[in-house]
Amino acid sequence: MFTFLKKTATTSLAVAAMVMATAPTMVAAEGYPEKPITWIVPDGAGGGLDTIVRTIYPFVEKNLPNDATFVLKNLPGATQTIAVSAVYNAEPDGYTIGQASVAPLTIMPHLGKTSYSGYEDFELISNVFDAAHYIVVPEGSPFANLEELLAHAKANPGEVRVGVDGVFNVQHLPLLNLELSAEVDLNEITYKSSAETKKALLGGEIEAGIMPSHIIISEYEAGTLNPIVDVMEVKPDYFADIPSLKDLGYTPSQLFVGVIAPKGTPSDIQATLAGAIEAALQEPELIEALAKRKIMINYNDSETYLGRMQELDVVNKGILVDLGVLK
Amino acid sequence: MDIFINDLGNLFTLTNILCILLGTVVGMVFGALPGLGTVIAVALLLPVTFTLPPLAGILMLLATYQAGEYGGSISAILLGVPGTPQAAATVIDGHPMAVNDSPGKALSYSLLSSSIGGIFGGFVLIFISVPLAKFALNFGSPEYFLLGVIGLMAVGLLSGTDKIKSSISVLLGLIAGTVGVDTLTGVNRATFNQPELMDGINLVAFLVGMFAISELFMMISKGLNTSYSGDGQNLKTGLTAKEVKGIVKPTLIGSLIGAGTGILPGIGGGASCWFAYAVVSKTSKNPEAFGKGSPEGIAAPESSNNASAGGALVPFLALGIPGSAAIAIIMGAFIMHGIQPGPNVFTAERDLVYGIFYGFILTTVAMYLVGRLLTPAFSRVLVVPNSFLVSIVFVLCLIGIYASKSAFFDLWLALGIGVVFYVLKRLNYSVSSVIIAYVLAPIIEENFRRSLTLANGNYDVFFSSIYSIVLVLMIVAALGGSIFADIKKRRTTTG
Amino acid sequence: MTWRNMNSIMSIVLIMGAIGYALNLNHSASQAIFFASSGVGPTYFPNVLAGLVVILSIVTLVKNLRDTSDGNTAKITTPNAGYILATFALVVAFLLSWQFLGFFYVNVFILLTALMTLYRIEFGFKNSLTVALITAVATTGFLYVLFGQILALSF
Repeated sequence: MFTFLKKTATTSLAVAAMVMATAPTMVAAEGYPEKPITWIVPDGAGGGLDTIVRTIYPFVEKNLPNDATFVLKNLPGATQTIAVSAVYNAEPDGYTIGQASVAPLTIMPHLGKTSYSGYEDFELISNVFDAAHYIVVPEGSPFANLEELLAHAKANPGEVRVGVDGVFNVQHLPLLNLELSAEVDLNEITYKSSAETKKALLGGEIEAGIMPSHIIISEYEAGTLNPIVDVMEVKPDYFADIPSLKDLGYTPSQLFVGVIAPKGTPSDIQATLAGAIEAALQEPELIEALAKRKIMINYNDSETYLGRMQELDVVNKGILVDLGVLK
Repeated sequence: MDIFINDLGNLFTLTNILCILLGTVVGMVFGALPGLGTVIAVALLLPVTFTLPPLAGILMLLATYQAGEYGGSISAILLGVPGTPQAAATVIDGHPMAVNDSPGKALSYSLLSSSIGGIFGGFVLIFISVPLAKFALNFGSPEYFLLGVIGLMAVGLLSGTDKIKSSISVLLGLIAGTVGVDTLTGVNRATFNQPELMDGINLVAFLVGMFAISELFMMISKGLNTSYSGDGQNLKTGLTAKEVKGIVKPTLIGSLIGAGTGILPGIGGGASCWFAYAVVSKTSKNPEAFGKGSPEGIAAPESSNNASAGGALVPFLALGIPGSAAIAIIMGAFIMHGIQPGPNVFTAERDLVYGIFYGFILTTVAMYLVGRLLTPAFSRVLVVPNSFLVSIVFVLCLIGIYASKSAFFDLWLALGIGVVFYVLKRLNYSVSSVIIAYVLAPIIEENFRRSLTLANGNYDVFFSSIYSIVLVLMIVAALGGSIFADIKKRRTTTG
Repeated sequence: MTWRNMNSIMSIVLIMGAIGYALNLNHSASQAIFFASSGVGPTYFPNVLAGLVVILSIVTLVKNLRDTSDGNTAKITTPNAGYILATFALVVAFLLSWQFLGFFYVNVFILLTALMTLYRIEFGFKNSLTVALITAVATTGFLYVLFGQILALSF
């Protein structure tokens, strides 16, 4: 009963926010920005995403007019939802933007763990980069490819143990979806981080694991870990010949990280920001810095970014419905 | 394998030395300030390394990390407030010695054993990192669970006068460690609808509230315009040869235990200092001196937390598995320079890796020298009147908590925890065991449940490897030993 | 207040805390949508822990009530209790002001000045205020340079 009331309350609030947001806020972007822009980072200082934003922001500053400056604010925690909520609650005046991955926008809202109701509550400025996650097997694994793994799992339900770094996240949902569509029963083992999954894989505790591509390059070259299939849509060039779920006829997932702003941020300011991000991502110096770290730059304009978000949201919602988590 | 660096000149450049010194000073100061700690120091220096050559940048971070481990003990000894969780065990003997005997001596014991531990860790890194990293992989979820249980038993050895109250303290720590989203199912556990609690109770807020804020209230009671050692006596920092000899054994035990637990990602320094303390206090010739300022009680945890710093680099470099938050950030520096830690790093980046190995020993030397230089100044803290100490340390604590996550929630939480633990302390609940229980809770619970999931619910998983059987036997032996000792004690007291 | 009363209050607080923790835990777990396939669930350990705290706290409570020794029935004396309460109140005011008004460095300055003046009031108001102002200026300046300028943290 309480939850019902609470949900209604949040929905009506969200509707109210949307109605207010549609009121034209025609603040001219002329002279923008007049003061420092806060860039909310959903990661602790020194973390992976934090260092990426710290690498990028000086280049965006350079491409903005009026000697723009950014102030970075680290708000880690709760699968990025603390940071995304902070963006949601900020004034839509163009002086607060945030970095966000897909989980806080297309998964967490469905689980009822957020104050906002989904990606529709934000202005999507532009996508910045993509990431690929692979199903990885250790050296000496009997499975050379996904078909062999699935065939074995089909014959031995619950026997094949696959490590993921958390539940209901960008790794867990595609795995559950794969189980549903391939009609197999895998034993999902949850770890706290990809580092733990890696240790379990190398130690022979699990038969396979899902891991981000950039942390297994060294093991791939040494032959101790073998990626067999890309779970995401985009492939990095260093693993170009490894198939993706899409290549094999399954629904892939997506993992992309972009810049969002509070709903109702004036559209000309949005355009200014998107333009600066696009220009920054073409600077050779930044491209080189990100390439060194194996980050796949993938600039999408607002429209493409929104389109991908909508598509992924439908997929994720579908998985949660199929699992019986959502009605 | 040729383990000697081709050109030691690569290591002893002015840039490298300056970077190591800068890292050492920053690490020591941040480690000493309650709430700030190693992770924040490393995170804040990370951007500086972007502009440096790889070796210099990485050595700077390692120096920060290493010195932070020692820095945490400075405030543990002087104020009874551990700057880092790894220094929590140092409070038990370090603080009494500083207050009753000599702060300078306590700091010297700590610095000397920390440095020896650090160098021990460095040698482990140089000589046996690859085989050791492979060995560490044998410890899977069941073994981690058993190690956690052993850790909890070590806490039992520290229990104070009131056994029931000590047990309640341990339970409170375990409960605090379960708060947050359950890793295995995603269920919110006792988060009271606070998003800030979803990742658990913030360690920094917990540590600062429990040790620092409650201790500041205690200090106010002790008199505001007095200081710990009012006369400025006993500040000398030298140790006699006899005193050094007394800590040889505990330092070696601590170093071994520290390096051994350090190589296990996720267990690390926070637990190793308690293992070392428990083992040394049980094997010492003067067990009654522990808790009252025993030099051995300082040497054991101090050497172990620095040895574990070296140990933690083993899985990180050899396997690309960072074992702690600070190491994860250092890994960021590697990646930023386009270097992938992992099996190939020893061949692809040979010079760099061996530069890091020898550089790591250099950071320990730097830590010792900077420590010697700063110890007299640090020990003068106890001459500062409490009015200054309390107000300034309070502000620093609050900044430290906020700097880690920018969450006001954590500040209120720390203040609340501070008040509750102030009362608990006065009522003789033992506080030091709370923090280790908090650190061990997820290790014990998650690995227990994960092991069962791995084995589809079969409890045989805890006896399935030679390592787990050895650990089970250790638990049984320790239990049997303490029961036997209890019976013996009862007989001697009654008969 | 006597030690005995304080001990009793603490035991009751702990019992209530453990029960509150268990209630919240089981409430959110009952709304959980998905459990791991095999093994022990997410509420098992926490419930055991909470139960143990309740049992042990009851034991402590009973033991304490039966303990009528002089030490236990003595009054609790807290030297400088007023200062402790004042410190607590000032820190609460500081946090409220910082959280809702901002101006971190101004708040730090005021907090330090207030604390130091209060702590050293026995040396006379003028003297303690002067020392407090100097300390506060120096400390706030140091913090601003270190955190605001060198480390570029925003508070």
